[in-house]
Amino acid sequence: MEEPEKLVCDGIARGYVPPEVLSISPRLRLYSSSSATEVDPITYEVIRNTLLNINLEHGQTIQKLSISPITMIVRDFQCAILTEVGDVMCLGPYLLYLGNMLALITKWILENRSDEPGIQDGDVFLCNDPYVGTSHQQDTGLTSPVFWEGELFCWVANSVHYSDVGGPVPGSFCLASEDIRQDPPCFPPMKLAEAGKLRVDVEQLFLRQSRLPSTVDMDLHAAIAGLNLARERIIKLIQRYGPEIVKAVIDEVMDAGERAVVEKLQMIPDGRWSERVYTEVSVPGDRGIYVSQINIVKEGEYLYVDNEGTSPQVGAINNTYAGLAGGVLAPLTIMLGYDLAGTSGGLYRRVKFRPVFGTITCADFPAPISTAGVYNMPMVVATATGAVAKMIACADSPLREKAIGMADVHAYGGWIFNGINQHGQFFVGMSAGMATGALPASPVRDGVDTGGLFWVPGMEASNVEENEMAWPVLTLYRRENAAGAAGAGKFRSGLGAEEAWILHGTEQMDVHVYMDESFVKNQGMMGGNPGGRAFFKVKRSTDVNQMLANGSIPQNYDELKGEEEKTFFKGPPIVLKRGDIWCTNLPNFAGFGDPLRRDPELVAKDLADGKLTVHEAQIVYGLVLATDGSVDVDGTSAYRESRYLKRLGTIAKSPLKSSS
Amino acid sequence: MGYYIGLDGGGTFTDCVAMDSDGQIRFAKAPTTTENFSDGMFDALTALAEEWGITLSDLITSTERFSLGTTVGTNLLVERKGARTGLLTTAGHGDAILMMRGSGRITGLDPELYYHPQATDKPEPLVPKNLIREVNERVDCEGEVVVPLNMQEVEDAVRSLVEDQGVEAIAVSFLWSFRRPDHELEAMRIINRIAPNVYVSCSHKVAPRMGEYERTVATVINSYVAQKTAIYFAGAAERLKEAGFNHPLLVMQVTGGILPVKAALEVPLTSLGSGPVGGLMGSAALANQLGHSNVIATDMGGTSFEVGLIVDGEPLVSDENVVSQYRYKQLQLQTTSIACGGGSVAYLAPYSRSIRVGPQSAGANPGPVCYRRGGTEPTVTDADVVLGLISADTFLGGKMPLDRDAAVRAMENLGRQVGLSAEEAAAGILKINNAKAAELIRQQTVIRGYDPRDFMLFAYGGAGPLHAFAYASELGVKGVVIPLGNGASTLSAYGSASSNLVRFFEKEQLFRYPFPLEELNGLINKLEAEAHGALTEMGRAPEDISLERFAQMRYSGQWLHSLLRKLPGGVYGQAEMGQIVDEFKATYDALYGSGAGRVSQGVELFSVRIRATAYLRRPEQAFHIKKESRIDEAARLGHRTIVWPDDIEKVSSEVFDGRYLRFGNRVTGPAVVELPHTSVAVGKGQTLSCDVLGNMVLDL
Amino acid sequence: MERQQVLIGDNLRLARVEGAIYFICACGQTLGSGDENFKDYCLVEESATASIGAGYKASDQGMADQVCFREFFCPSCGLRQATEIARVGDPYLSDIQPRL
Ligand SMILES: [Zn+2]
Repeated sequence: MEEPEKLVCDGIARGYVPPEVLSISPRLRLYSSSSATEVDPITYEVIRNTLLNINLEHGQTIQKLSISPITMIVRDFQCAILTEVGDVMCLGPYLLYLGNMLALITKWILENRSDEPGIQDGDVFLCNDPYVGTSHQQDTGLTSPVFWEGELFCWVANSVHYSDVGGPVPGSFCLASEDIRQDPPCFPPMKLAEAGKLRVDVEQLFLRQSRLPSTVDMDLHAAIAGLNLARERIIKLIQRYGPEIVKAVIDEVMDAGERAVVEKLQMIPDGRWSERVYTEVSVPGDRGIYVSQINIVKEGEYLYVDNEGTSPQVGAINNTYAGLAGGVLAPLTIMLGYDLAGTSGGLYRRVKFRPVFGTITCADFPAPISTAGVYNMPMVVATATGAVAKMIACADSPLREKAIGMADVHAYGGWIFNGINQHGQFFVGMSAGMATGALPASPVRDGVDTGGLFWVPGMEASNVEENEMAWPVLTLYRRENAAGAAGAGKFRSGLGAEEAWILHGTEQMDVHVYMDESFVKNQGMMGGNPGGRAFFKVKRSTDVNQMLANGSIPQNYDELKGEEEKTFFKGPPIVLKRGDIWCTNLPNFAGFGDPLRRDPELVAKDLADGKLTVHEAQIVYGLVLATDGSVDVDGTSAYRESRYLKRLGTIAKSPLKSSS
Repeated sequence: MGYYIGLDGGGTFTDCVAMDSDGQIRFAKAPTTTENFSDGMFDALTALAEEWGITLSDLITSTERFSLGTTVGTNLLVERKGARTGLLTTAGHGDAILMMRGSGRITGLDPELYYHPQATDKPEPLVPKNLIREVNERVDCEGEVVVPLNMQEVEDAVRSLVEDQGVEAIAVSFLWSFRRPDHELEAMRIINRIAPNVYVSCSHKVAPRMGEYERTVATVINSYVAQKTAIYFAGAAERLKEAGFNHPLLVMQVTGGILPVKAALEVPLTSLGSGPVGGLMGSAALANQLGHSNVIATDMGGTSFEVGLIVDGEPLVSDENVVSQYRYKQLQLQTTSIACGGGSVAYLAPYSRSIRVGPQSAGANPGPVCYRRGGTEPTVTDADVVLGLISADTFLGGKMPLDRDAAVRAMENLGRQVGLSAEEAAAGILKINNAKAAELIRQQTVIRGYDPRDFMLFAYGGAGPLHAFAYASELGVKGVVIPLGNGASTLSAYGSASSNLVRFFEKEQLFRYPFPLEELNGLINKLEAEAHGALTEMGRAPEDISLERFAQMRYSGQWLHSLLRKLPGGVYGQAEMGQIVDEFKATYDALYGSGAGRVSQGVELFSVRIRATAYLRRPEQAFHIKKESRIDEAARLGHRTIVWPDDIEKVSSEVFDGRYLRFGNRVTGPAVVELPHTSVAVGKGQTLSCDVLGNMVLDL
Repeated sequence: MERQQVLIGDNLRLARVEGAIYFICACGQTLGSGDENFKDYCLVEESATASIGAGYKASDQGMADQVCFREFFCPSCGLRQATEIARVGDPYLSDIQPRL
């Protein structure tokens, strides 16, 4: 075995990090533009707009034709147009961290497959290997070259979450895996289609691993249909305008995006910003606490990102370099690239990674990766969001107003379960607890209640009726959270949501993945409260069926009689039975600023809207009401003053200090 | 002499069209009066009577049929001027309409905004939280009752909404009510009993589709607009009656048919936004007479560009609509729109030294720079003026002289920043705008498997006829029709005059292949009987009624995708079922690539839909018989220098007054044909001719 | 353009005072020099995460006890400048270090 320091970032021993200049076989002819090509500003805009629409259509095709809710509703997928050397030109309004992964896979193929077996017109490569460039094995990438007259012109690619890609656990999230060989299989890039023809042997190889081959097959063909559509439309565009012009537009879109980002970087002072997020339990039974840290150094017109301070890789809580880079680029796309409409390639050029390998957020082979989709990836995005938001909040106006607090850390995916549904079919369900989302607070305004998760911009929650049609469950209630302490601040977070369920139409169901945090993982922003704690609560042998028979639908989990199951973060699988009730949530996210600085009228509005109790308005926000229920302005000021004084009077200076 | 009148109101103008018993038609319009709609309506009718040379009274008393299309409901919603509405829903699900599935922040917005959270927010709630009441009742996905309706709770909730909160309307939306409507019906009975003056609508009736969010939104909007819509219709009917009209007033529906007021008010939501649908139906009626079975109907106005498709003579139907970021399910003729029109603003794209157009619009206020209302940013209309496609002096028949110099200055200013002259910049703006329009059409056709080359393109709306010469040639369509020529801006009114009585009867029920045939046949029978009964009840003779069957089909699990399939008549056996499924699979593969549908995945038929049409008799539209090859001198307005956007070359182009062009006249481009409310541009190498029905046909 | 100060959120800034650079609270209190962690100059309260409010308490107390909720208050005005969820005993995160 090699020494760790000798490991190279080849996508085999350690996560693939592409070099600045790729090593591509001379057998593959690349179309390269002559820099002299002038495009008039009008043609430029027409072609730019068409390319964005082609990519959107690619995404809409996947969304329409796929059948797993995680793809068609939750938009856990991504699609992109990439340059001939695999740089992202534009990505869709879907799961943002997948964008750069498509670049990594494509670049790896260029370096490792351009000689043997070669890259041809009509090829489609399939890859789910996290060390090459996926977030976890379920997020399988397809990438396909677009050729013009024998030369590689550009690529179209997508990544889709496939419901089950094998491995020991239904849904393929292997919580107990301590080695990637206990995970679902990894396929480095191989040809799913060759010269325009589907390779049934490779298709069969991929489907053979799955517990849901039919579902995965439909989704795979939805993904292929998306690629075909995008490829054909780009060819038509080239036919119409000529390759020089289209290529010049692609290059210019990237350059323009880069200039836009540089202009924003000039509004940010140089410096260093960090965020630290804690996670827990590396495999079931472990009691450890682990750290994810992201540090951003802004120097001149570049950002340098590292993960120093992060725990060494351990158990089943790892992601590869692909996850680290993608997770950092996602919040940057929203806070620095918000006006680029997804043409993020220019932004990517300004971000340099200096990863610390062998850590949970940049693990080396053979660390298992399959659970990253629900644990590590949102955690990396959250950690990066915290660091980016603090940096942006130090920028000049109006950029500083674009800062967004930390969103979800671990609730992503909510819970994953399987069984036999009311129609007698085996199913694997993934309930996206996060899908209603919430926009966290920013330095200038409140977040948006159930306003969606910002790093999956097109995401949507399924209807309760759709869930009840697909799975043997009944939703007792689904409602917005209260605006209490969770996510409080001068500007508060948008509110998440909570849902309570019982079985219906079946006798039992297995839950393999559920999120019951032992402690809150979210971090508040600039003195704001952290978001809430994600939970998964189960009560056994309740009287719920009796209550239903008596004509009453329970509306408060906590008031229901029954035996509270002691749940743990990454506890053992739970078998739900008739008479059990369980409750899941998407907590509120980060608040901004000291809650005592919140405009009393905004507090009063939440009170009036029934989103806050009088008690919490007082405790959390220091609000005092007059006898007629209106805000007592003077009383509130005086009371808040007393709260500040109390802080000064009772708190001793802590002996702890920051590290040097 | 009898007249058949169609009227479209609610926009800037109230437009009307009348056809007489000889099939002659005339158009007129008058400004819409927002205070009292009937005033504007009668202004327009007075103008219409003048067109015929008769008195208003004569026109009204000899009118055989009067149909009305309107945007009043949409206006109520957008301006939030509807009824104070309460919502009654299943215990535990009152927040669904507030949570908006987590996507309400971006629904219906330009995808570019998806990446910019700080520029987006949720809309004002349609029903505030304090007007939402939850009651105990529960039905499951099979339609079985889990918890019976608690009638006392309904009564308490209704009393609290009506007596404490003063609601004027209530929407009832329970989970799975489209599978079992009993609870909603019972709740409605209770409301009717204790609050008889409160308007009630039920979700199983308004939008009987799976998905509680969209169904609830539809029901709430329905209740929200119902009473004011009813008052509006009643007001119009009353005024017409006083003036001597003694037939039932008919109302345009988004389903593409018309219904008597009483039937239309069963679900007022179906009258919401019937304006664009009227244009589509007008196109369909003309296309039918001209023998065009495939039409792309395009309506470009000041702020938006709407596209609808007619395939094999039938407008396509969709299930979904978005208003003010609220998405709801409703059967309606499909129209898709983007922000792209005469008022679309052009600006310098940051960082890339290029020009962008829209989606922001200058609207009517301040409007384009040339309108002299304080607009400073150049728009598409300004580009038209700079290039000479629009004459500053003869705009709107000379009623509104435009400031060409200001438009040129604004264009110079924009052009300078990217190294273009004012004319080059103006030409570029048109190219970008036309490319966007063409892109939308392409998405609506090619992506559904239709080849634009098999279609005629109809162009109407204020800016459609002027720009169609360019966006239509991008697509290679067979040709362009400016429907009704001079009457192109009243096409929606023409559409309501030429529509038939149409009602849809639909049931969403899941049938997995192999379909239980007895159940499926039974459902079809039941719906057809219901459909037939409803139209006979409206006094239609059985021989005038036609029933068509459709089914929505998909592969098992596809919640966001379905294909609408027309079904054969008769009772289905194994052979018919096999054929239905085979045709579904073949269509799917044709659309998405061979092998896209996996045989292993089951096929589902999840909704049966009956369209019942009662054909109304009306005179054949008169053909112009006498062919005139010579153009009347009155039509020749001389020449004007126009810069045509394609080659940015100044060309002396002839200008015509379209009112004097006759059947058989032929205009060769480059030319512009001016009409009182729009202009038609005829590009180089294109010809424009007038057809037998008064349409102008542009050969590309 | 020379930057005279950096606004950090809306109640903290980095600014020059008589040639040296300091973190300064909205109330005027300095919170250390620009190359230090301003949190070291705050009053710090450490409490159990469950004390933040309703919903923060989990069933697994043993795990929860390993972390804490930290609040950093300006020693002059009592404003809360920062919060942290942190493992007990971990140093304060030096997370905002802009340069002038
Ligand atoms: Zn202070």
